[in-house]
Amino acid sequence: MNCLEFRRTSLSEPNTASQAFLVHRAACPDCARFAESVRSFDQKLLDAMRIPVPDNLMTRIKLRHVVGEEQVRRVRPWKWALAASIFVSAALSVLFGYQMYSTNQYIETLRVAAIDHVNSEPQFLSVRGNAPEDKFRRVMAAFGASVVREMEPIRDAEVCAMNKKPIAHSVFDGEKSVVTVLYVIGERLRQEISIDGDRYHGWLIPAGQGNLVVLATRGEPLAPFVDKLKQSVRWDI
Amino acid sequence: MRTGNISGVDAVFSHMDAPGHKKFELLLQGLMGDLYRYAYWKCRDRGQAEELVQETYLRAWKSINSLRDADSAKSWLFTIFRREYARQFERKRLEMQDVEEMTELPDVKISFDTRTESFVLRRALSTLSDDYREPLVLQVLGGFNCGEIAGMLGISASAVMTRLFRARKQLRELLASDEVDTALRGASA
Repeated sequence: MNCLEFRRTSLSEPNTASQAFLVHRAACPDCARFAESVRSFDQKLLDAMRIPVPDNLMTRIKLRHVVGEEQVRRVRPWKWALAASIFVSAALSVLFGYQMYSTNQYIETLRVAAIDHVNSEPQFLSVRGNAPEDKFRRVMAAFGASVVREMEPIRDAEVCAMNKKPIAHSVFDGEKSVVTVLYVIGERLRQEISIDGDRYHGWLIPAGQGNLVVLATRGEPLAPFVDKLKQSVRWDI
Repeated sequence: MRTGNISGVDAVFSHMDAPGHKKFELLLQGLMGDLYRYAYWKCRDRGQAEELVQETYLRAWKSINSLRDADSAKSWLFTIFRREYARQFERKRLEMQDVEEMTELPDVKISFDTRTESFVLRRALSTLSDDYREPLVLQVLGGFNCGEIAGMLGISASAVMTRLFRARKQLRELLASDEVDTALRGASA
């Protein structure tokens, strides 16, 4: 390798491990100095290229990942169920009966899980937060929803795991206490269903690819809040 | 939990146990920064770069099982990005921001090299044509060799070397580095 070839290589592949390149560098001080100047220039170039990575980019990727996975899981069984129902149309009535049973089971499971989840995070209920106004919108956006009107005052909004699945968990100030809104991807109910428990009352509201769960302690008026929520949160599909 | 960040997603993410999840997590932790920076220099727009990086990871997850060799993870991911870029932008032929806007990096957080020298270098880099800038970014930032870059760009290794040579030469001319310019004139003669 001569000096010209060496310098061309320096400028096109400065980190080459080519034997000829290394031998020439060891033998020619001028070329070694040139190679060093290229290396130094590349380091400055690297520093210049290293622009800052947005703080929340990784979180957004994770959010889309966990929510996307759950949505994919929901689609697959539905497709199989559709195919099966066409194939065994004679068994529709049996399936319908099963679906009614299955839906009732799902409602009960959802109700219990939602109340357990709220009870498991008492800090949500007792501490007044100062979440940014758009946090609810950002969390819901990950679940495919648009918040067309801000819901205030918000205490916090987060992505949590309920039964190992991602849900949106938001807490708002109610008139007397707080109101919890969960969004759970899953079997979408056909209609709104009221929830009554010893401590909590609320609603299951079909939305998007799942259901909103609105919960508050007994005595908290929910009707105005639910109306506002339904006007604020929209799903494209 | 009481911040503007959606911190709960980290806990949910770390408890996912789907096949390939660990591999995906490593891809995310290890390569997202470089991928974003490459995306930025490719798109020259922060918002588009962020969107493309997110889409790239979604697509990477869908085909995570096809990634078998850890050594090729970076080129595999960058190739997915390039396909996504081509799909979204080359077809739409979106207008890119001009050089003046681009050199004023929009992120207000001062966590990158703000020396005048770096500013001048970024500006000079912006003036390179895509054909020259992309292999240079892939080599300097991505750490890829000429053969790997050739595979990603779908051109020959010798074409990559020519582009890299010219890219560095142009940059140095733009920056008017006397010593190197002299040497370059000798090398390109």
